[in-house]
Amino acid sequence: MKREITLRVNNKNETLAVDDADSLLEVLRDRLKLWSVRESCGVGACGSCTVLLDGRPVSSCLLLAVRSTGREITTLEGLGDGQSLHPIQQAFVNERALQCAYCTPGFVLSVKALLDELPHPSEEEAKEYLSGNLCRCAGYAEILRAVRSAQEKTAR
Amino acid sequence: MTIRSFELLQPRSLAEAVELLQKHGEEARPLGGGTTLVILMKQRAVHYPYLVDLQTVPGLNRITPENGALRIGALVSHRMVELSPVIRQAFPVLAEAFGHIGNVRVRQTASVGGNLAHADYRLDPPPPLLVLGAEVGAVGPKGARMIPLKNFFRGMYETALEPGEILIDVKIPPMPANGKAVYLRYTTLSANDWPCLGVAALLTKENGRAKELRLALGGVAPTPLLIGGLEFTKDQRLDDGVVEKVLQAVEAQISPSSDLRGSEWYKRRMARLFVQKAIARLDGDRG
Amino acid sequence: MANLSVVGQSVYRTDANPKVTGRALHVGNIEMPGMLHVAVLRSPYPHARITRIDKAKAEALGGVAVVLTGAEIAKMPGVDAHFGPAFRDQPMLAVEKVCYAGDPVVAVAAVDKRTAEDALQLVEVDYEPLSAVFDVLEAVKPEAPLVHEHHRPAKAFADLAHVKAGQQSNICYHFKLRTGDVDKAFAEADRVFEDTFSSPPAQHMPMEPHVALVYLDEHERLNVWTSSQSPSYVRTELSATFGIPMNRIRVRVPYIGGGYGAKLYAKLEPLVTALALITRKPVRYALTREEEFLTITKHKVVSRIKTAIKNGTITARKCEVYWDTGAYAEIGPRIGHKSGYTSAGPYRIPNVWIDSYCVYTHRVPAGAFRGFGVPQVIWAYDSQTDIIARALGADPVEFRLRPALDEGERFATGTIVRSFGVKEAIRRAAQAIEWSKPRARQTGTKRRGKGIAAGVKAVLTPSISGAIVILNADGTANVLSSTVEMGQGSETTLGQIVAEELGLTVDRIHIVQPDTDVTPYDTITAGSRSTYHMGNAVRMAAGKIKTELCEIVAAKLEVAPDDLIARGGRVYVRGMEERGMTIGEIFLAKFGSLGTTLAAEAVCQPTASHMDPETGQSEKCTEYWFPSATAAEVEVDTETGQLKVLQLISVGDTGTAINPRHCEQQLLGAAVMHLGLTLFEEMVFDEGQMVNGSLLDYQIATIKDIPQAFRPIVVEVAHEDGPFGAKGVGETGALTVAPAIANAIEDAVGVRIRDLPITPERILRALAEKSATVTLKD
Repeated sequence: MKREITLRVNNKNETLAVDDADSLLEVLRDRLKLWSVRESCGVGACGSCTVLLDGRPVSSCLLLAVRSTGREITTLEGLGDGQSLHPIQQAFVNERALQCAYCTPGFVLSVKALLDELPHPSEEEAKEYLSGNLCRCAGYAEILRAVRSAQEKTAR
Repeated sequence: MTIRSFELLQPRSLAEAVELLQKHGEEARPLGGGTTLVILMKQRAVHYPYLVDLQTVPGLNRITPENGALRIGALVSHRMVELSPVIRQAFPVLAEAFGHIGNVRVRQTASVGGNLAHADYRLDPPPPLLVLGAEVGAVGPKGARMIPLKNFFRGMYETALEPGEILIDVKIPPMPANGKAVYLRYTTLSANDWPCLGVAALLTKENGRAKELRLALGGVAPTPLLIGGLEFTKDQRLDDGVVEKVLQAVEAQISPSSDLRGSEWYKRRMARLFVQKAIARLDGDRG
Repeated sequence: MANLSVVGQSVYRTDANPKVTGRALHVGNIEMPGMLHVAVLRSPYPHARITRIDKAKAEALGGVAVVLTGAEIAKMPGVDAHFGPAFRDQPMLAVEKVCYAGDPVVAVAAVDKRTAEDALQLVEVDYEPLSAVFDVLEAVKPEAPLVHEHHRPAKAFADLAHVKAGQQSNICYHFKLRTGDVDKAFAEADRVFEDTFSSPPAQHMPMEPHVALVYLDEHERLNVWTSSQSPSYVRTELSATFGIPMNRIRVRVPYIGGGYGAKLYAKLEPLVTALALITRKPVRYALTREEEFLTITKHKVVSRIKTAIKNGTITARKCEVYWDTGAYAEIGPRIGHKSGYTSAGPYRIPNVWIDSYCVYTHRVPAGAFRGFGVPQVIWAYDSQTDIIARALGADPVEFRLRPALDEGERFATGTIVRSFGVKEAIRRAAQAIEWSKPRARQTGTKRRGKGIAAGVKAVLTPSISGAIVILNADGTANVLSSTVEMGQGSETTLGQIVAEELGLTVDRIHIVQPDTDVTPYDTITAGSRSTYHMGNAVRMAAGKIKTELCEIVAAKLEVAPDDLIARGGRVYVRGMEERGMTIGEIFLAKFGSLGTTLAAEAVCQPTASHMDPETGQSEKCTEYWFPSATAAEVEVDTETGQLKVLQLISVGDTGTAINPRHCEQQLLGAAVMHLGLTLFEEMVFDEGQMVNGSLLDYQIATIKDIPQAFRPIVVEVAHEDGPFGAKGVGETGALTVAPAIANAIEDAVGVRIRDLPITPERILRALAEKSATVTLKD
């Protein structure tokens, strides 16, 4: 069924007509052209489609757009001030924590959520939190270093 | 894949939800957190022209203490259970079990009710809930009822819920005095995977002797399994001989099938090993 | 390296910014007006005749542009319904019969994905199941059902020019190597070791699934955007398949989200081209993850290896290697050949006999996978080398060092090896894991052990890389290269090479993404070949421009061109920095106008010598080698069989490291990928049906799987013909992980695992077999 909904995405209200069967991922990408949100596994296991819902990481491929109203949705495009890189993004660059980078938006948002919840995570806590973000280029060692580096910058 | 078009019905009350399910019969299904059902519909393995959104029904997403017992609403997320100070304090084994499911994003979205209604034989919450003596609250066209969890799982992906009935909460009675519980989860592939098996145990002791031992296993039968016939442990010290009898009871009741995470041979060996470990963990003062 | 300004520096990636902001262009982001979306109906049967297709209801659905079948493609004038790099065996859509469960049968193009998928559910297809063969050892038997009645060579590549047609057999390629007299050596041996090893089929799992977009431009030229590692090949294949002249096809590849070999040759492009030609609209097809499982895999391999020992030395090795290439050969024959000839290992062995068979079965096609088959053969030979060492009571490290080939010795193919740092790799691995440190006595249910493994891969030769470098009057440059940036850092590496050659900084170099309208032919971005081949091509092209710049300056300043160097955006006399000209001044001197350009082209085209088809002997079989060694320390839980990898050290001889940190990353990344493959990755089939075809069931390594101690060691044995001495590194870390782990397990608990993946159950079963009561002696 088609209906009009308003989603709050990256601090903007977006009103659009959707089908009840549309996933949040489909709407964010195909309708709002937020290309950082990517489908990779379709079952919530890989993290490439991660967005923040009220600051918490969720798999947008498993959420229905119609059920995502009234929440603050953040994609990578909404991180930072649009001028310079967010400290977490900078940490990823400095620690070389990206290669093909298809998984990177999901990782960056997940790291943001991690550090918002736990400003000083231990390595075990960081690994546990990020265990559902898959990287096939397998830059995991660098990603952990990026978390540590970002942690130092954001925890003030 | 995309989901075929359907209509999302958003009831404002439980009564309305029940009414909508009755009205549409086989064509409708309740939607909790939505992870499992959404995946099945995305794979086009199932299709329902109507989904009844339980998120819009007030009151289903609360954790409510009730005279020492606890009621967990069906729409409470796994993540809420994992982080809830009330649950961590009263039933730490539950917070731990829910904290192992999938990954942090799935736990943010998936609901307690949806998990139980799915009735997969490998789920993490059922074994600890079974040893805690949980009951499931259901509401349907014929009214409300409580179903003991041990009677809830009927078969592979089959529950005691009748057509049109909605699982609305899980009620957990207070832990027995001097009771300790543990949940051990064993994975053979990746850490976030379905478990090969899970063992939950609850042991109440008095003067170094067992007063009551409860055991439940996941992944080793068509449903999560509460082990029966353990009354012989009453007033016994849990020495090797008694533990061996417990293991034999477990062996006789489990019926593991070979799956991607372990063959029947392997699961039987691991069931033995992890039941032993669970008992040893709880029976800390064994000589 | 002496006196270099940017090569040898670990500069930051030049593509970091678009990637970390999510702005990077991927094919899936490209939209065009009127674009259609594709859904494909796939065969539920592994082998069946198609008896009826009824698509009327699907065609009638609103929003559907076309419902296409293989029979219709076969009728398109001038179109070859089949494609493939070695054999033209793969249909765009099945024609008359399907050859694996998952084989595409019907394609729908519609206004959106949902409509296309809805239409698919309205298509009716009837099949008549045929008998099928799923096991590679069964498939080679004469009585096995045939996957293909005829084999039609594709004639696309020089190294596969000898591939033959015909044959009523599932064996589509047989590589032979014979040196010495193995039978005599076995007869005279003190001991003979025989073992069989297996590796399962697995998924590449690039995080970005395959996607292709095809449209006709204003000239009705075919335009293709594709997530592919081989744009030049795609153009060639489409030209041959559809009978379209090469310059009326444009293939472009932006950044891609991983490849690892999954995105080579042609995949979706032919089908999407057919749909675009029929509908005259832009058509885009993106695979779901479940479809990825049904599209391309890593070869399952069964290896039988027999080794003769005399006086404590390996005197002969006989290898029988079976490659399960699935229903379509893809590049299987090349793998059977190139990896086949390394099957005996990097060792001095006077008598070698290798039979390497590429075999069809009714399963998902297999193709190039990071390591190109070499991980599977090293799994066999380096596991066995360790078995032998232990059986002889020899130290496994010494046992490998003794016969490991030195520079100037001959490989089993007769080729003299150069830039072959195997010994150093082994030594560095042993040192890093403290191999000589005495093992502590162990008690309890957890046991630790250490293992080393070593091996080599040979780069695909011959192959071709062409490049054009354009220097702009303001001292910036554009580089036209068909090398694909898929995460491996090629954009940065090529930028460093050009910058070094022209005396510029990396930020002044723009690497143009592959566009077959303007970027010259490159064989493929795979097989660890790009740093060497494309690196050489861009270096030579830049060198030609530098020569011209020097000639202009030499004339102006009245000095010899040889006295000049290019550095810091200028060309000046060596030792007299003030005597020179800026690039801007040089251009003005030559052209007198602003905005002018100097361009040069170069091709790197190493050749191989003829390889005798009966003996596998060649004076030169490869341009260079990738020596690899891995050292591992593991802890085995003897109650569950669970394995913990405590230390993993990945050692690779990369030649000169153009960007040392990137080389290290490649070693580590490849090692983690293969750690997952070693411990839990396996595509499980039941009678040709995929059992674990989604990420709910198929697991790859996560951040929790990185070993506690995990590091790379880059060994730089310079290659005299590589750019600044470089070779390559993309696959090196992948090659020796599995046997290192298996060798460490044997060290820890005395059991030998010969089949991958090494699951806890496999270890526990081996322990149980070894001792009925599973007690451990200290």
